[in-house]
Amino acid sequence: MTVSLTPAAARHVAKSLAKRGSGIGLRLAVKTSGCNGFAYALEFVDAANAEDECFETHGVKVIVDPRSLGMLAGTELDFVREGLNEGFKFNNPNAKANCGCGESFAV
Amino acid sequence: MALLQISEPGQSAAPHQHRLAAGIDLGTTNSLIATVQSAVARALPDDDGALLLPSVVRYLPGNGIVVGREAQQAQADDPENTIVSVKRFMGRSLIDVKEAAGLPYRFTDGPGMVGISTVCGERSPVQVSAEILTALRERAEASLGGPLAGVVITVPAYFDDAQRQGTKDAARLAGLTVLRLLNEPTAAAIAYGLDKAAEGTFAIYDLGGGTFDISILRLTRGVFEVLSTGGDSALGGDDFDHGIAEWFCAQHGIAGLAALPPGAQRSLLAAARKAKEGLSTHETSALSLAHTDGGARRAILSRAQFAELGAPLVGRTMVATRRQADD
Repeated sequence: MTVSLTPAAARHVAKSLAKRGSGIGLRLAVKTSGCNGFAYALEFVDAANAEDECFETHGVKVIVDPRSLGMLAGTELDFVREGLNEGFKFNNPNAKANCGCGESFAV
Repeated sequence: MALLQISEPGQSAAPHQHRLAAGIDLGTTNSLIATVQSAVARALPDDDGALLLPSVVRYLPGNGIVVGREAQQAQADDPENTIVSVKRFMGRSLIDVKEAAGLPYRFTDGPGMVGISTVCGERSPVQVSAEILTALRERAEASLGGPLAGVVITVPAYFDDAQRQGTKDAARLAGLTVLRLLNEPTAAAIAYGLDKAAEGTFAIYDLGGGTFDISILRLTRGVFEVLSTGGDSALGGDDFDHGIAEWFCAQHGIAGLAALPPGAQRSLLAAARKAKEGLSTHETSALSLAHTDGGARRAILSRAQFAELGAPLVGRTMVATRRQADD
């Protein structure tokens, strides 16, 4: 099971990394918090940890820690525009329920 | 559905840790501030429940400032210090303000932009606009319960760089961070959901309180491009109110709106506007004007009557609309 990016998400991550000037990839993580049990986190990665899993899609490295991977396996990260707003959206097959705002979820 | 952004390592925001933002329509005649709550856009009312803030600023002796309805009511009594439609002067120098001679203000020719001499000293259009924005900011912060992290302000599509920069400066002076200036027709198109529609060319017909704008937009891959703009800077909802008020006067043998004392003129225009708005949901609306003898003059306005009164005004908008469509 892997974690992947859509081409639009990969393009935006590559652009963000280039703009930042440093970093080896994007970390996807799950934290316990939020109104529905878990919340997603998206961070730049300067150095991966030894236990991290690394996936590469469309030329972009996605880094996930083993604890988060259990809840993210099969997830596809998309980048979308909604009106004036743009940002990342998780398509996670493990999520059984999303809260209204989509920032947290339950498994 | 919230969209996520990438954070620096270890700095991901906790969910539901939101900052407050609002959208501002800084209009020529009226202004308002709105925010999105639970995915629904909602205009924020003032303490009296009014959504619209008349874009009027009055300067009082001793550096006092009044904004909105109260300032609007003083317009007839203190025209020199009561600034209306300041948006027309934003980013303009004195030679650009063609109607200057017909206005009650004492203009000064400031560097790059006109100034207006008031009882509080010289004020620029940026400073006057900042007073309107401050009133809106205070309303939003009281209503939302916290400081605004940023705002989006709409500006006419035809605003040039000086006018846009003036609007940004006014926001900064009002203690606001501008996230973006948005073209008014683009805002209307997004509010209407056109950005989710098929690509194509759209006409945006914007009949405001005192100005009429027609814009032709092209939507390509989710991005709006303004192809052309036009309109009539002296035509708006206020003219319809005047039409109703004059009709009311004719019904009661009054020579005209101008023949009434200033207080009665204001009451009648307010009644006319209320009657007009009532026609959105009812076939007819009643309006009345208190008489000095203690009685009241009344009239019933029907949709058909209103359509007849407004026809010449709508006709003027259609002339401008056709001209844009032809170009």
